Amino acid sequence: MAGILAPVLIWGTLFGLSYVLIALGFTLLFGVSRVLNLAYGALYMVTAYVTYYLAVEVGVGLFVSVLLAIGAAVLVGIAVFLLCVRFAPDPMRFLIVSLLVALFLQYVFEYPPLFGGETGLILPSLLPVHGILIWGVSVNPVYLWTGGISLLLLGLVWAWVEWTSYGRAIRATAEDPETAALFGIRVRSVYLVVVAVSSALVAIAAALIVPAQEVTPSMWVGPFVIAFVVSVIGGLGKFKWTLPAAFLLSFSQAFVQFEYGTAGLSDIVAFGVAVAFIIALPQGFGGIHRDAA
Amino acid sequence: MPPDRGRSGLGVRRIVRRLASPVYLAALVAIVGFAYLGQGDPMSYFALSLVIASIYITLALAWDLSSGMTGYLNFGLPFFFGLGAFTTGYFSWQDHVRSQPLLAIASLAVGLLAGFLFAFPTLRLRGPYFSLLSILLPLIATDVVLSYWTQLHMPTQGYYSIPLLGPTSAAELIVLSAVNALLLTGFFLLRDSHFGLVLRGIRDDEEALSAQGVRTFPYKLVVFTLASGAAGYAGAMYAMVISFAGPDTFQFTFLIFPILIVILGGTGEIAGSVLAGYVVMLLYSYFLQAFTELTFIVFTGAAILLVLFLPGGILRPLRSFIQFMRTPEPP
Repeated sequence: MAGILAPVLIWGTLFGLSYVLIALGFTLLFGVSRVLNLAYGALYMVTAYVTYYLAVEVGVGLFVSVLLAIGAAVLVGIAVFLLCVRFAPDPMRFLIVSLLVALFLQYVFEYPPLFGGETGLILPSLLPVHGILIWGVSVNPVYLWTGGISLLLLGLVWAWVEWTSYGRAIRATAEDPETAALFGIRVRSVYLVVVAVSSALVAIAAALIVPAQEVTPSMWVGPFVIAFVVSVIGGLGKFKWTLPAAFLLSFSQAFVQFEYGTAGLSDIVAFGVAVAFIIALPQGFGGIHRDAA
Repeated sequence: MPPDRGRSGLGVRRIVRRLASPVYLAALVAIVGFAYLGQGDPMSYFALSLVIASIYITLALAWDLSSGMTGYLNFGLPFFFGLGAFTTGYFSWQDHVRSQPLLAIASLAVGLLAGFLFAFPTLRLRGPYFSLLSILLPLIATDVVLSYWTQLHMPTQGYYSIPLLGPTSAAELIVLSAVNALLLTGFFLLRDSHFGLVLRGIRDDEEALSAQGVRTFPYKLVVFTLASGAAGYAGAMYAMVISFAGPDTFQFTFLIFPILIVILGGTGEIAGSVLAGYVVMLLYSYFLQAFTELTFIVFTGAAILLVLFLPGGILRPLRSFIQFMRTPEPP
């Protein structure tokens, strides 16, 4: 137990913080618009591929490519949302369409003429990637930076929703869109802004984290599973609970990983935690808080 | 509409009356007709396409019965399909079991059991939440199988040399068509029974149904267990047709086509899925030969457009057109 304490603490914290960044947009979007967007993970993938294409194949500067890629992800996110809201308004059809969009993008990126059908492309990083030692544990500094940025963005989103007048409009829309519209809030533009912010958040996560991983056509699955499980633990739509929820998931994964020595179990742990929460505590952490208040 | 619609009971005349529906008869004719057409050249690409089409039709029937009728979208279908294929691979590995019916029954049983174990806790969730949890199943299964491949004592690439279903594609087609005809008949009768009425009630307004005193949970449980069993059976058939079961069997391909077929045929129509199944899968086989790598992009794109712009499928507008033509003109 003592031997795995340091790696569990360090990797639990670092993965937890990156999970916050990955899940934040998903929870925020669900909280406001009540739609479950399965194409969320695909935006992560779009960012990675567009960055790779611009920075490696075209040769644009890395920072500019990342910005353009984030822009592309926001555009795709808005396009999917608008199409679904216009033509498939009920949540079930939204679910099917967004899943199909994710698979569609996967097949597009698998198409050989585009990226030579290669998998496992390596994305250049904006951040330093040379491993450093903390308490005898080798840590990729990408995760340290991501952790800091993730906390910063969580704080910013929190402040934006909680303390600005636009944030009040967002909360009103989440509470009751029709009444909000009666009070002069442009509900449609609120939705669009939230979709854009949520897409940008997952795109930023991709730009920061993907260089420590690989670019493959099925890479949308990981972030989607994380985003979904974290939002289930925190309570769907309650973005303020993202941090404790992400830590619960990441620490249980890190514990299992270092106790049993394999990384392959993480997904089973994630699924088990999600099922346990759905059975025992379907409202998530956010639900307890509400009952107590 | 026949007066006894929705009542339970198994009178022969009632069953015959229920089955005298043009869509059901058309579907049955299609199954028999294609099974006959496939006999022309027993080893041709056409016969093989029909075999693959039949497997997807089984999946589509299962998806339509569970998700199309209740509105609970079960994205876990590829998981149960893959599980069926794996069961067949596992038992037949190194010639343990060479009997095809036995392997199919084992896969069916594993599918039923896994479906029950999955549905029992998760069907407490309503609507989209259930779908989200079900989608995690195939996603995670692929990951786990890929990372634990060697620890699970599986052959490196997957289970190969699984006993073939039949000596030729044409022979396989006969078996698959016969089972599909049985499934079609059974599911179609279920659709118009009291049971089916409750399922459609769940889709339309589950809370109202509960308020009427109907406990919806057992109905959902039965129907999802049945669908998972059918998917497990389809997986076994697939493994025996290609004589292989690897991690690919958990792919979402086994979800895209059933969704496409069910929506095209009209959700909850059962018989429509059979007709749409042949259309979609024969088109797919043609595309696969003509434009290999573009096929999935085209079909997923088509599915997106279909859900967005023609969610009722082809059957529903056709039916309302027939209704319109039949209505006598106003004086």
